[in-house]
Amino acid sequence: MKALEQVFRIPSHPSDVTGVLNRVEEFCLAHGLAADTTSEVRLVAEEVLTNIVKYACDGGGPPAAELRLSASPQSVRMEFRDEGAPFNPLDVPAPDLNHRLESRAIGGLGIHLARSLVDEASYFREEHVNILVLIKHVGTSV
Amino acid sequence: MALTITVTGDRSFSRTVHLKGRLDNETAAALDAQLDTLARSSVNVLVFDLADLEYISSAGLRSIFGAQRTMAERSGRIVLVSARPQVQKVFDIVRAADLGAVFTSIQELDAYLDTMQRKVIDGQ
Repeated sequence: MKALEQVFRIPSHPSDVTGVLNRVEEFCLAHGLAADTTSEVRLVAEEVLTNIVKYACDGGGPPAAELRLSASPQSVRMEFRDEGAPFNPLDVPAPDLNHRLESRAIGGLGIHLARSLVDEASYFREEHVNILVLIKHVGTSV
Repeated sequence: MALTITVTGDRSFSRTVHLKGRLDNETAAALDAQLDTLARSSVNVLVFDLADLEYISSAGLRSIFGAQRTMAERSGRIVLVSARPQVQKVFDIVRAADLGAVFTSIQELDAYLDTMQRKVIDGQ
């Protein structure tokens, strides 16, 4: 069965991210995903989108960006595309989680969370577009 | 569904922050504002009642970690109670076990605070 895909335009301001996340959640529920899986997809999307909106906009105007979301009975596929500066979030080292919290640098947690909640992650740069593909298997708990 | 924050206090040295809904990129600032006020009070223990919290993202974790830091600076502490499995999973991923005492039920927490209260009274 072909996965059904929906394209979401990524907003240029952090305060507009919630609206997109609500629609991502509606898409997941409409495709029969369980509430737990839906919540984790929302969380992954929140972490990546806030990161794109925050960093990709640093160079001036907001970059064109979108999320292509598709769901099949086996998996959920999230493809984030943005025209910001080349940036591979998978290269960001995992935060040092062994330090006590008081001495831990706050930051890097979002990407770490997103990566921890998916089964497959890949990044590539195609001409002037950053493409991050995250796949979460359905019915498994990572 | 946004976030509802209710602060209660039944012991002189503690306050409980009840969180209901979603603690995320959109709502974390509201919690930060509340925590800022609490941090300027003289309570020693800040309890986060997470029974009705349905979702937490890294923005929410930052708020709670921030509160933990502020409390630690003045020898206070934070305590988490009744996290739902989905929320607990997020804390587990970032290995926040050392965040503070974690209780699974209000009864367990009450026993802990009672002990603390006795210590405070005995120490006076």
